[in-house]
Amino acid sequence: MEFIEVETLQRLKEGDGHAFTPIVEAYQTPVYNLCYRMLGNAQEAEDAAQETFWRAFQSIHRYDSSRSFITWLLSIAAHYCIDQQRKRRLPLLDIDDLAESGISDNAPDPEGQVHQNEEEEIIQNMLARLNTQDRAVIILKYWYEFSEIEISKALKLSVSAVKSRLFRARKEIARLWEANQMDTHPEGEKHYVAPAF
Amino acid sequence: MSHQPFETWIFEHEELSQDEREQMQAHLDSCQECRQLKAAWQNANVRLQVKPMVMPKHGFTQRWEAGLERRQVELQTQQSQQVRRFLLYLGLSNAVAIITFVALSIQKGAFLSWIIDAFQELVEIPSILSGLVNTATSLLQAMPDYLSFAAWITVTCGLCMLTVIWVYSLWRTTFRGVTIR
Repeated sequence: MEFIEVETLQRLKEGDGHAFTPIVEAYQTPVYNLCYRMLGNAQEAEDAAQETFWRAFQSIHRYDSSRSFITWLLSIAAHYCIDQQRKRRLPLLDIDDLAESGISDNAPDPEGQVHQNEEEEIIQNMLARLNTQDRAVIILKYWYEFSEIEISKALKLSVSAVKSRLFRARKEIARLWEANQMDTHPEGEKHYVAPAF
Repeated sequence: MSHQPFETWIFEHEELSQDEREQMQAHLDSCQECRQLKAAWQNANVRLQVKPMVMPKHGFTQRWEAGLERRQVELQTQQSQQVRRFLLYLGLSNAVAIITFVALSIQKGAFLSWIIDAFQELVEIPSILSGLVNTATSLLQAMPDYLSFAAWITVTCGLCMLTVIWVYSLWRTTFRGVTIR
């Protein structure tokens, strides 16, 4: 459901809140995931996702139906999270929340769940250390497979700014990964397993 | 040692030419920093490609529906408060202006003469209006017929449009208020 139906859009523009429920149902996971990746806390992500849908509902008359709806929705979510981060300044990390909120790829066993949580922790740690805008760029690029043009539209940045932010964020992630490896293998036997691709 | 353009090549996933690949390999052979950075990025990139989606807790849509009702009530309350506040401030500021004016006039002893002047002006209004009507009529008579008709149409349309805008603004402010973000 990348574009919403004309009839639904018309009902929404007339202020019919019930017409928005199927949209919330359909997009709750991508919106919540974006908020969670941006904010790193389940409760804040829930609030931010709810706020995103409310803002989208309120400004539905401004939605250009020729544009992808998910791009528009995620743009609202990203801007809201960036604003929240600016207000908060310090990024929070709350990995315990992951036990409460589900991960959509179901882990087959407890060991797998532990491994998945560790992977999550690494990813979330890296994201939390990025500059807010760079984090949004990385999330849209990797989780939502947005092109650089789509990211630039969603975040209201120029394409060259998106490119430079992507470059900076990737470099930062590589440095964090390297530092993480140093912590895990402090003896100098660096564990670089570079897969061939 | 300069790490450019090799760093760019490491982090931007563009296809390299044969010549660029050779340059890259030569640089990696001699630069441990870039070698480590490339390996680290490749590992991190693998983790990023997994991209698990985190789902909200069960009942997100139900919470949205409950929240929607609450937010709509809040919004309506906020808007009616805003309208009431606006009308209150408008009334108060008018009252303050009138009281100040009256007080200043009384203090200067000019209040009575001001009332007399105002009355005289009021009496003169019909004659001013009739003068304006005469001027307008003579102007219209001086114009060719087709021009006078066009002028009437323009003035009437303009007045109608202004009235519509005025009524719409009043309605919007009174019933819908202004959206607060």
